[in-house]
Amino acid sequence: MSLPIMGAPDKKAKKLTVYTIEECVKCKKPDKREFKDGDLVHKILGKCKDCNENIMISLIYGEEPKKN
Amino acid sequence: MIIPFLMLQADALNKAMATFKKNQPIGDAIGPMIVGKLMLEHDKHDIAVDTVYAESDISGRKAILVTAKGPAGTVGQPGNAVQELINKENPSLLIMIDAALKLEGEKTGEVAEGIGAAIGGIGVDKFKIEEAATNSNLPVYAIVVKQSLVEAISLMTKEIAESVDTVHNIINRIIEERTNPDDKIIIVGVGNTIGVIQ
Ligand SMILES: [Zn+2]
Repeated sequence: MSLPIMGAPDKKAKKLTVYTIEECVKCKKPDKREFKDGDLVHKILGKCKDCNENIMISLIYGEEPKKN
Repeated sequence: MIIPFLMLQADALNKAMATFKKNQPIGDAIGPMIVGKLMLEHDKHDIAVDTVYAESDISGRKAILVTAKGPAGTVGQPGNAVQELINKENPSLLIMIDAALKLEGEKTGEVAEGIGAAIGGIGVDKFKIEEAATNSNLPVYAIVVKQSLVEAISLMTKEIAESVDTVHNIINRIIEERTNPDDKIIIVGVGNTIGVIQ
């Protein structure tokens, strides 16, 4: 068989938390928060307090929640 | 011996439903995300079913950017779109960006580049693009972001999402090395555009 060996589903796989990264298109200061319904990559959310440029969602991704 | 393989896929598809329901991007959305970012603030035009293109300027070259129309879960028809654009615009370079299957042991989110049409599916789109490119003697470059089959249909991971800037740098480098100012270039972001707008 030439199928890739992938193994069975990992029952212990950790649950990912979905994060949304917002950043101003000019000052590029990223702000990470948890995903909210309606978030879309490249959606414009408002104006930056510092430079009045658009704040855009640059990334949405899943990550293991950090343990403190 | 095929059961674990099927179970893994079934499990991934099952988990993917929650991701699709919330309109969150999946690993395969990396192509539309990379090209979609270049399309922001440019006029988008329909070119095929669920597929849009926009014109932009990259290093003095006319870049024609093609991807599926977000944020719905669709891959569009990149084959038809690219075929039409090659015939109409007569470009001097085609760059395709896609998610690609990694080998066991390879790192997720790793970026690789090469030559040829980077596109999966059942082969119709690949055929159309290769045929049109061959007929007009057009060089085709591929930039791929590596991930597993499961990652490609599951919620996008951090490693995959953070490859965007790396790929943009590679696009700029290829364009500067392989084309002259005022050339036309087609850049295609292949993949499912769920959760990504242009
Ligand atoms: Zn700002």
